[in-house]
Amino acid sequence: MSNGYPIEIHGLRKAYGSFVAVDDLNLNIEKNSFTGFLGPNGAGKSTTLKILTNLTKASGGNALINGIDVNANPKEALRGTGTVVETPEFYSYLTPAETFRYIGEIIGMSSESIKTQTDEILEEVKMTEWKDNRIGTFSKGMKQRIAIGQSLLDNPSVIILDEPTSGLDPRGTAEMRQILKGIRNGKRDLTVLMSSHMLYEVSDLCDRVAMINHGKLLLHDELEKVMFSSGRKVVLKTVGSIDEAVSKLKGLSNISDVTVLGKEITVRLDGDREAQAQLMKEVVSMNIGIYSLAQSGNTLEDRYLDIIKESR
Amino acid sequence: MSGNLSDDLRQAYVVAKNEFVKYVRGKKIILVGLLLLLVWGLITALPVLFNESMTAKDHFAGYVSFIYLLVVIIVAMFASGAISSEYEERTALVVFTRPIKKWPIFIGKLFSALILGIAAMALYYLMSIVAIFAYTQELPPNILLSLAFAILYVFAATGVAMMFSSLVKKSGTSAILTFFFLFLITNILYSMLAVYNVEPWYIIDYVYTHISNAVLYGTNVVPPVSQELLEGMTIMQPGYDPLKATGVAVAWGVVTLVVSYLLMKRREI
Repeated sequence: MSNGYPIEIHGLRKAYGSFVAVDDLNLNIEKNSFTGFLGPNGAGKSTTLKILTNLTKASGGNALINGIDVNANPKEALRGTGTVVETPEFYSYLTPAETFRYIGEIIGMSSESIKTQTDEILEEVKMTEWKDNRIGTFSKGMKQRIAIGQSLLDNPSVIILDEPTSGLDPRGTAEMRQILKGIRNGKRDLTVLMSSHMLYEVSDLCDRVAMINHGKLLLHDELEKVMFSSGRKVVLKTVGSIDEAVSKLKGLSNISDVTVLGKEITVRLDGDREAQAQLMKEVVSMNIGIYSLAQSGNTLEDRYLDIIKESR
Repeated sequence: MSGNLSDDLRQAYVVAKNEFVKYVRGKKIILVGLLLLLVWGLITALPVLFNESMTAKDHFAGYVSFIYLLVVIIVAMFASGAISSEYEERTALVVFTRPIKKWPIFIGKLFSALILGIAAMALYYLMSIVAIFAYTQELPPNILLSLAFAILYVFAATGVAMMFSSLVKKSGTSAILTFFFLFLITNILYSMLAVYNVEPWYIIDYVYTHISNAVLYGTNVVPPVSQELLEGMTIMQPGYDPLKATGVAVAWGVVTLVVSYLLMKRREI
């Protein structure tokens, strides 16, 4: 049954009466990937993650972590797995250090290991200063940092994150993204599956993307491939004549879909990063007053909306 | 297999330890302490104030007559929130997603709630004994047997409280249901069945009656009797049977705890 992927989902199904939340979902998450799990509200993301974390039982199919079926043997499957599901709360009467000790003891870590890792992780999630304050007094952002921190205890090989920045203010979101980047770029041997509605966050953090709707997998691929499968959207800004610029751009062989909005020209570039570099050279040599050439920031959003629209 | 079991038991101990920390740091334990002190203080002081001449047995009857209420309040305050609070406060999202089975969580919570209830009873009995001895220089008979029934009642009532805790979403609702079930519903059933000349030995209140009757009857068995209350109206006076009462307490405790565990196991977030 197991194919060696850290997370494997085979024919997963979850029904609540006549409503099918997850419908024959198949998904394998590559080792050491940071996979964004996308889909509209009610698509089945949270239900899938809840099945993976043993908060909900599947109606059919299998969800495996490190080759162990979560439904059949949750204790062994979740060993070596860190989780942050929705916005968890912590015991208000405990401090972060005590919370980590409690979770560490449940996992079966030694006292020494708990102490060492607590200090390291609290530093990593920037909570050292509040190590001995009771969590009951913390803001949502601080609690979410504790949530990320506890998921790192005992050096897990898999981390499952369900909308880790949900409900945070812009500053909290930015801080959380920095922490997640630190985890991604750190020395841990980690596979991360993260659901999110924040497409910018996914394109900033993830190297792979899986999209679902109506409980079914629509797409699972490398982020770059998903974003640029139908070309790159490039936005050019000019101080010169728009008409002249549009005319010259249309003459280029790998350019299509030229649209104009004010002094902005958006084109679809057929090619990779090198094609984009080549385009930059060409527009400079054309001398058409281009002062800015950048990839559209909405690329993932555009692809996401296209794919979700097609699936309806 | 034994390694798995020992790890499960170790985890149950970790959960129980955390529950104790919750009780100790929470305000509820102070409230329970004050309640015990107030009840004990009133029962101790009033006979002295009124210069009442009482035997040790009379004194003890005063103390045990409020144990029923004390137990109901204690389990409603602690055991009734044991499971529901994890869902209500969303701490289940952290603990239940860890490599731990449901039963060590359940056992840890049950153990801590039971220990707290038993400790409260033991303290109340100790305080009562000290006061009775100071007042009469003697001790009532069968105190330990009475304490044993109080502990059995704590066990059965804790099972009821945990059953409601596994069933409902909010700890407050669970506490109210526990209180009304033990204080009102079973009491009505117990009294009404007696009116209809049925000995209600299977109702949880049967255990409670043995807490005070233990002082009178010890290990003897007293059969139920039908008494005339008013002209033409008889009422069943339930009997006293230590073994039967023990069985009833164990049955109530075990059945409600099994139901509670099954409800918790099936519960999803």
